[in-house]
Amino acid sequence: MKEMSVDKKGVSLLLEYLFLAAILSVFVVVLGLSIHDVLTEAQVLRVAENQFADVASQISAYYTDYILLRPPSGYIKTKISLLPEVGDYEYKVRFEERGDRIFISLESVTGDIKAQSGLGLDKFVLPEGGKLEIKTSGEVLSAEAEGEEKPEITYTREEACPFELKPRLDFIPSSVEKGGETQLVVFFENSNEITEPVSWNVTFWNGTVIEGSGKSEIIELNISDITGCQNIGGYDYECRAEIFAWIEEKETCNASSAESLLVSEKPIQSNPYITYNKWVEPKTVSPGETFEVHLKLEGRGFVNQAINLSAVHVVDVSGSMDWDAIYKEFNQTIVPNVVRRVVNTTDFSTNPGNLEIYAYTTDKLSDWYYDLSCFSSCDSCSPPPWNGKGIDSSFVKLYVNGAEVGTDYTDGEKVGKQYVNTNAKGSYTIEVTARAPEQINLTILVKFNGSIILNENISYSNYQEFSFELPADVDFSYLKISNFQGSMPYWYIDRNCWWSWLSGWTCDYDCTYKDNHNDPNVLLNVWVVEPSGNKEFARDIDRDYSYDIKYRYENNNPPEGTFKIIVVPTSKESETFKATVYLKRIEAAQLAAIQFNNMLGDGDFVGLTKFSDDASRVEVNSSPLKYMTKDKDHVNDLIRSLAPNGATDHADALYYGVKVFPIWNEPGNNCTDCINNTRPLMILLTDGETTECDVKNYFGCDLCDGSCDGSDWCQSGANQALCVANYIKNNLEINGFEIPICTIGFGTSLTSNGQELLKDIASPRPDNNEPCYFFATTSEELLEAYKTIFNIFQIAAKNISINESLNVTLSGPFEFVSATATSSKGNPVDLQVDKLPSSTVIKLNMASIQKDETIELTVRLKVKEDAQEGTYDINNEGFDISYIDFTPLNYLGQETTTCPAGSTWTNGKCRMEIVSDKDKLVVTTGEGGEITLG
Amino acid sequence: MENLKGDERGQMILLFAFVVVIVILTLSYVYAQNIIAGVESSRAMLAFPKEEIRNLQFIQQNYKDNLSEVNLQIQTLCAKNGWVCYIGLNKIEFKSVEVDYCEGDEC
Repeated sequence: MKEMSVDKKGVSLLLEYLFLAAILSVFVVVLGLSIHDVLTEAQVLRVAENQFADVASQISAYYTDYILLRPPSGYIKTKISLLPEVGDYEYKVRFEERGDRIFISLESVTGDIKAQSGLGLDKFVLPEGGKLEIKTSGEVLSAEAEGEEKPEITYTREEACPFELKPRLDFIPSSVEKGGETQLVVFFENSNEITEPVSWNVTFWNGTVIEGSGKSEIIELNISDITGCQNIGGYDYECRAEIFAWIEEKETCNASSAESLLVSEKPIQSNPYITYNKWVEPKTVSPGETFEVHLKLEGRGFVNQAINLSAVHVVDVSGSMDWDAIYKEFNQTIVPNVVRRVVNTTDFSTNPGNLEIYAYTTDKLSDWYYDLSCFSSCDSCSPPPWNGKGIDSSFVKLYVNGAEVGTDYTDGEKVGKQYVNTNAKGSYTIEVTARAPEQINLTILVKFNGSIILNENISYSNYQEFSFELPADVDFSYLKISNFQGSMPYWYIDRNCWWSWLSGWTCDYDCTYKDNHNDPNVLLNVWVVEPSGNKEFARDIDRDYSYDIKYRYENNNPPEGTFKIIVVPTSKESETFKATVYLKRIEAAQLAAIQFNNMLGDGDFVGLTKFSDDASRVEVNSSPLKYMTKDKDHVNDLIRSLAPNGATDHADALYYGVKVFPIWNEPGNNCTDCINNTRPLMILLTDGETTECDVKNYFGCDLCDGSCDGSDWCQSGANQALCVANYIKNNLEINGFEIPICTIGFGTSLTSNGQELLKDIASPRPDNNEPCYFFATTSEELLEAYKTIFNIFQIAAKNISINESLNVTLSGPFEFVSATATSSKGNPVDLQVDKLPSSTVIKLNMASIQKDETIELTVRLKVKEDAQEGTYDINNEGFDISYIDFTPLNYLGQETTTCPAGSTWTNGKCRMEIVSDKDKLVVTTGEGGEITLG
Repeated sequence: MENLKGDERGQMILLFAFVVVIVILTLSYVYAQNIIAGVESSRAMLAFPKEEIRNLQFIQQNYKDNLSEVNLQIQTLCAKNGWVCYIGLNKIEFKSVEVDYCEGDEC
């Protein structure tokens, strides 16, 4: 230290060094700051400015496109591209609202750099002056652009109410005697759309209010107070109830509808009438949204009370009624469940290699593919290969690049197919199907050069189900299902029969397993599953006697209940499946007649005549009303006992049919008063043509020439039948009513001669004046014919036409979308839409409306985008503008000129003007959606 | 190398060279960002499928009675462009890699 303290040169050097270093540092700092400012900060700012402008322009472009599209409800989501950093600055992007303007604001996280870009007004001005408010919100950090979830700009617009409310009321029955009881059903037509709690109250005609909540409720009512009901003539009153429903927590989301009840002090003299309701749903909408206009027309009147029926069944029991009748037909394309996977070997190696594909299951299907070695009736047997295992390799099919490939593969519980290609390279499409009539596990395993590249276990099934029901009304003695197209059982039952004088007919049954799983002609496997769950695949499906490849299921004691037909495709190709279910004609007829009787009310009478070679009345009661009764169960039992035999004599049938009525002053059958206040009806059911004619004089008709022997068409018999029918229709009356004859031709044996005769025999239908004739080839059509006959005697009004003029014009705020009209009874409704410059007119035409039938017209309209706010009347009102025309009926079902209250006789019909205070629509343009960043 | 060890000026040259390299790299990064500025907004304006969606709206309005058949054809056409489209009575859908559009009560 001593030496150094005197080293002045060293001190001088140190000071010089420090001095120079300080000057240099200052220079470097000044230079660095200068360079940073000139070369970095200035450039980064410029880049940030450009990038921010890019982001703002991008958002602005989406914003503009969103507003131009602006779906009335729904969303648009678009990913936006952001640089995670500009220079080394992260930044935020957000919407900012200032006054009535919207800006996109971009700001670095440090706050050093800021930029803004204007998007204009916070609302979209519609061409006609309306305004849609656009809400904006949200913020995005640029660093989020590096994450998996990229930033998005989202447009959402939801209707103010989360779902539409469609409350409904229904009275069951809808016509009731004063003091009687009815049920009021409260429900929502769209109950499956309701996702939040709803409340409602029902206001009745007398001011009573019932409050409730929930999607449905049944309220028992005793109708003794009819204060506030409107008298609609005589002893009848229309009582209206209205439901008002709303979403709890959102009371502005509400809707209402009304329903009327016919209350009569004297139902027996109550005239049927029609009533209507009209309303719009929802009541408040925004431009671009749709809404519905409902017009509900209802028939009102007392079914089975105002006037009862005295119905006579005239049933054909000729020999042909023992033939087959089609009960159900199935015809559908079966699309197989094909599992498809694609593997590409080049994903694993560019060189060719060893590809192994396995498709297998470990499940058994013993319930379906029986493990039977033989059936009891077989003289010789050859069991199927899966016997004892319930499955074999043929159940699984493997396709590679469209071609069926593979060899049998079994390994422990695994059963299926395998495919090996030692020189595989490229893409392979693997398709697997299995004959799985129930759910099984299916495994697809793929190895390439020994490494597993696909290993998938799939819950798999491959079948289609068809079903039909045998009702309990008839004890069926026969059921056949045949015409199975494309199917074949796995048992081949070869029947060899021979005749000998000693032992008569003798048959051998050689039962052999048919290897149909590998037979390309077998396209489908089919099981018939009985109501007990028993699955019939082969046992009762025998080869047709024609020795064609047709098989059938037969059961001579079929149980009631649901039968299922399970169809499994055997390859990856779609196939057409057909099957026909047959009953005996007589049993189909019994079923239809019994179901008709079940529709009748307590006060209705019913009788029965059967005919074949000759006709005879069936005694159902005691003197003086031997052939008619109110005891339908007894008649049903007698109908069940009918057995077919003999030829067909329609003249006899008609003569003894009308003789059932107790008007003939004959012993045991002479009590017209017994069926007082009923209207008569004869229903003639036949499956064949007139082949027989007894030479007798019926009502002065004596046209039989004795030439008919029961085998062929008998013209004189037809003439005689027509003569008798005309006598009945033109000369006989019961309780002031003519005796109408409805005829039903059933089956496939009727030629045009037979059909024309039945049409000529038939009386005009009360609802449309067409012949009351029906032609039914299937059991379903037969049932439908009986239902129609019942309904046409329960009509409330005829010749109905609706003219509904809507405020939908070319320049108006609404545009037409669609219109539908449906009948609760499935009756045809003719709908026509006339789009005129000044209005849109909906026209409906119906031949009739039944007493408890509802016709609902639903017109869907859309509010135009440029519609202005306000309340609009949807209906163009006026007596000659919007109206319902109809022909009224009296309580006896006869046409009358007396119009019910609320309607006026005009141009030969009653006219009811359509007016409603519930068809106003409020259009609001407030909410135009929300655009968010996030 | 021996000579360089004691050469303090050489150290300074290296130091400054390093600084210059950093500055140049930073500048090139910043300039690269500058070059791509404007690309996204142009792409957004051009790529947003506004007209395609309007076409779907038009089809929904004008083919109401035959939507199921038209829908199949539209789906095939869209699939060829890599989009998923659907037209129903109460729903229009358009989906692409970047855009998800859904219109109607059933969204």
